Amino acid sequence: MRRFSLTNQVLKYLTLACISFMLLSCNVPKLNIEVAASDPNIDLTDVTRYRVIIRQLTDTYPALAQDYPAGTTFDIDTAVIPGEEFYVLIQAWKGCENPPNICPDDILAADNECRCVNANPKFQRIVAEGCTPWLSLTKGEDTLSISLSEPSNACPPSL
Amino acid sequence: MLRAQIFNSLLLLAEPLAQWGRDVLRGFQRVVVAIMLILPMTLSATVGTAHADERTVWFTLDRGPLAPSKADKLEMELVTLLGQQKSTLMVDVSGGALSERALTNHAAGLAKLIDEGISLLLSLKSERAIQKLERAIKLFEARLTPLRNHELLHDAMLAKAEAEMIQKKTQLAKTSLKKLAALKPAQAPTKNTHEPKFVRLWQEAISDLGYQGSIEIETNPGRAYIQVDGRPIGPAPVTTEALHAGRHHLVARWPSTVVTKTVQLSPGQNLYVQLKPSGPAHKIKSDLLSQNMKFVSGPRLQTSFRRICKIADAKGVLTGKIRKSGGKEYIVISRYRQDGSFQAKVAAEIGLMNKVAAVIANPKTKGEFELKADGTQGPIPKLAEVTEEEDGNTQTVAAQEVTHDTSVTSPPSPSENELANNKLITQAPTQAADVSSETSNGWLVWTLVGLAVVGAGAASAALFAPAPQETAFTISLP
Repeated sequence: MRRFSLTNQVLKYLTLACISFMLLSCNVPKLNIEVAASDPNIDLTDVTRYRVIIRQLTDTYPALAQDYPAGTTFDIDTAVIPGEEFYVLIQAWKGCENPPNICPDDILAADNECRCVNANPKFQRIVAEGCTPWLSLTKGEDTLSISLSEPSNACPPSL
Repeated sequence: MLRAQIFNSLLLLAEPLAQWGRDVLRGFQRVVVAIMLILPMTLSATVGTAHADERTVWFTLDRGPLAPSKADKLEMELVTLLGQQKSTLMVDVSGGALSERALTNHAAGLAKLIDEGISLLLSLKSERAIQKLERAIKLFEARLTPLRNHELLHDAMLAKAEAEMIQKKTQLAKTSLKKLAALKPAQAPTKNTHEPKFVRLWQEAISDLGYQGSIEIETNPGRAYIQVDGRPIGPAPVTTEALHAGRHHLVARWPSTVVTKTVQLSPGQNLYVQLKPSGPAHKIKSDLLSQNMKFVSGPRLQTSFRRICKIADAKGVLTGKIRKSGGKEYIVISRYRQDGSFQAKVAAEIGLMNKVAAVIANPKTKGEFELKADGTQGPIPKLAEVTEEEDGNTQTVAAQEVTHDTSVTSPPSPSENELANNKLITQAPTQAADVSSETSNGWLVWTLVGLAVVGAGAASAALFAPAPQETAFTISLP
């Protein structure tokens, strides 16, 4: 009788321990971002692509730098480590009306200048951008919105 | 009769004299062109040597909170500013020139070599002329392809073809002209500049090149700016316009690195090339960078910078970082000596970058200070650090101390637990005396043991469970 009771108790607490373990290891933070134009003068109708850049403060290269078509909702699992500071930058790109003959130097080009890109059309420029402040997520789910406005060197945010 | 003979003799003499005159005139033209090319380079080299130009390695700009594109732009401006300082010739870790000025000495030497080759050609010493010009071509291909003007190379190749033509080595001359034609030089031989026979050979050389091809260029890491045969073509990935078959000189420029490569394109071929920094110096650099830039001092950094200076044949290393404090962006540049030891650190707001460049480029700068807008110097302010070098070291030391303490103090902890458990166990019979039921006594003990198991399990989960590696995002675009 005692032996049965002991086994029963041990099993019970082991189960509890396993559930605690699972709860702890499954706690992946999630961030929902809604993007919208804040300025009514910004026309986002002919945007060819949105470039989404997610960068961790301590990383040399962005955790994500990908293009997505307009009007889509998508899920991303990036290499942003929970607890690390990061920001999200969204750029709206449109094709240039008067493309230059030669690709301008990408590094020296101004933010709203026409640039050569590895996409169609070849010459595009940023018409709007917006970014989050420095964020840090450790657990749970959060939602925030990014307002797109004219490129103004606002991103990345100040520490 | 005699008059006629004299007249004929004069005519016979006049033809070679006229030819000689034409040659002298052409030679004079070439010398003038060569002088025009050499003069600015020599002047600039002379000005430079007056201040004892020192090859200095630009290591990297740790961009801190800056976005990649802005940091790249800033780094380009900074390297340009540093390269403009009279005392500094900026090179990358493997010795590649980061600024046009760093190529000046080589270019001046090359122009001199070409001039000597042309002089030998005019003196009809074509064999020696060819040797000189071949050396000039090799020197250019080895060191000067990052130049934004390849006219010197074209001049050397054309002069070599002319020398081979003088030696009546038509096939060799044609091969040289094919190599030149592949590069699409701005100035091609025409009837106004060359003998009809030479112009015909040039045209044959072009037609022998066959179908044109192209080169698709990718770079890693990131998007470097690409130059092909001295012409800028844009950031990678990029595909060149139609190119003639033959040798082509590719250059990829990152803000702190230049990579060059010479490729052979076959007729009609679409060649794929990936350019990336390689070699021992870049390996050392990537090893240091992989440590998140926490490397300011210590023997490893010193050894690495010493090796880099040796590889790049440089007198020192400069490296920088961007930090923010109180809403202001600061640039901090450190200078290391040839032996890898720390020499100086200068900080200032980004707007004063040109002043920082002027001060830190001076090989005599020592100490650590902040440059202020009014020109005064003060102690470096406490900046909002993310990977501040000193903090990095402090953190490492602190972590070691904690680890050490833990290793000393941790063994007693289990024994304390054991002691506590023993107390419970030893106390249990005492409690059991108060509680009549043996079963309930056991229940209490095993409940406590069970709670300990749950606690230990939860603690283990917290300590040893793999931390979630990724944050999930859902993004809705308009």
